[in-house]
Amino acid sequence: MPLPDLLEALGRSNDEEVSGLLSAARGEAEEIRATARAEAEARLGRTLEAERARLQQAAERRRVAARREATARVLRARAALLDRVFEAARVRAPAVLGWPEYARALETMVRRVHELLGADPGTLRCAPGDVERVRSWVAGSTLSVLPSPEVPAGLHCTADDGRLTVDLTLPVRLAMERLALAITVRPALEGAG
Amino acid sequence: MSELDAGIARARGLSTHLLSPPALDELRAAQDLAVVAERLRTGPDPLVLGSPGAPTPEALEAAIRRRAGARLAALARWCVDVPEVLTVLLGEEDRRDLRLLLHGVVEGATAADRLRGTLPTPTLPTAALTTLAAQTTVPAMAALLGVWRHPDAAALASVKAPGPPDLLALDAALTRSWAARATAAAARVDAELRRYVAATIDLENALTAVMLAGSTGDRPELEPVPGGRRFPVPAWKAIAGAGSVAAALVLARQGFAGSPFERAFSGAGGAALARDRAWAAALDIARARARTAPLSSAPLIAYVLGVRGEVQALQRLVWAVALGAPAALRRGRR
Repeated sequence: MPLPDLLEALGRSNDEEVSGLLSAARGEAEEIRATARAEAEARLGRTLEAERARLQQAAERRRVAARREATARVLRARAALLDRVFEAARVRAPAVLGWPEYARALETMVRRVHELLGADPGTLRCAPGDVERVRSWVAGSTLSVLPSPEVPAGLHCTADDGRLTVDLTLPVRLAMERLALAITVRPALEGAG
Repeated sequence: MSELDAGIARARGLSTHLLSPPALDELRAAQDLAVVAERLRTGPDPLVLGSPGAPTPEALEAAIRRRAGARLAALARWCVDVPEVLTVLLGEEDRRDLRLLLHGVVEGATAADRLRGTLPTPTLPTAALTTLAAQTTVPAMAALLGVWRHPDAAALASVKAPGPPDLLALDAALTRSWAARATAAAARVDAELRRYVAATIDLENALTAVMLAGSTGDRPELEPVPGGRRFPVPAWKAIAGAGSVAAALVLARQGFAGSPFERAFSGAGGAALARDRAWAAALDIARARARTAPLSSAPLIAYVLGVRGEVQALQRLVWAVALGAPAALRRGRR
């Protein structure tokens, strides 16, 4: 091939190669750009999703905390109300001494304690106002009856050289029965506003 | 607080009345019965003796039994609303009392001797035990129990073989009668009482089988009492047919493998000593359970067994002191 023809052929070949390389490079660049854009979009989506979840959780936590605090306030108020009711009952305990139901319950308590102790000696402590009737119920037994200003109502028994204590005084009975009583009286208290 | 809780709490309080091991050791070192009586006259449940000074061993023994009866009666008052507990624990005392009285009748012991090992209970108080001890035949005892509507009356009346009374059959009938009531009662209380009843039935079944192995003649009518856990019929029959007491004890020991009763069936002495050792093991278990399960019926079991244990220890001690045995020999068999 003459030299001019050869040079022309070489020039054409170079141009085609340059053109091909440029085209491939452009294609590759486009692909990289598209992948990067998709990756950026995915990252952005994940970030937004995480942030949205975080915000939702924070909102839920605040909501739960607020609900819990409100419930706690209600329960505290309810407990305070019950405290006042039980304190009022404690203060007014001596008033039950005149109730016929109390007299019957006290006699049952005394007779039960007497049965349990049998012939064993013991000491019954009761409100000064109850002493006379309690003494009459245990007359002839080995039980002694003492007035106790610390017992507003009910009965306190000690026996067996102090090893045995049966506390049936009204404050202790109220404390023991508080849970059951609270369930019973709460609707009435809340209904009364 | 439930009625059972009240009984458990009281049993724990009453348990403090029982003599502690150091107090028993102190009594074992006593020079004579006057010292023993003086010591027993003090404390939370003082012994009531007719006259001051040195009592006779018989009088001291009777006073110890009376006190035990009063202790069981006190517990019964506190458990009156849980009759199931009384059915199991005091029913077992009744069974033991009746067993002793039956053996006394059959062996021709005097009325006083028959009473020696008994403990009065609310269902068989001292007067009832004394009347039973005065009977000369088993049918007479059964008839009296029937009149008193005692739950074991039917068991004694059911054994009607010709010839002399069959002690093994009478023992088995008493155990069967108690076991049926106790199993049903314990099922209504708690797992601790159920475990105790089953263990007691197992012990009685094992002892009956060991005694059968040492007796002559075939007894196909005897079977294990239902309610136990360790001796199904084939295992029980294998012990009963072991051919000798020694071989039967080995099989019974295998049946109790891994339990505190295993040791009770080891060593010499036959069924009688095995019964003694099993009783000691039962008392140890009951005391341990009362400490580890104080809110169950374990303290009630421990107290009743403790009352009987103290009576037995004091009876041995009284006679050892009365006979002048050396202090080192005044301990019970273990």
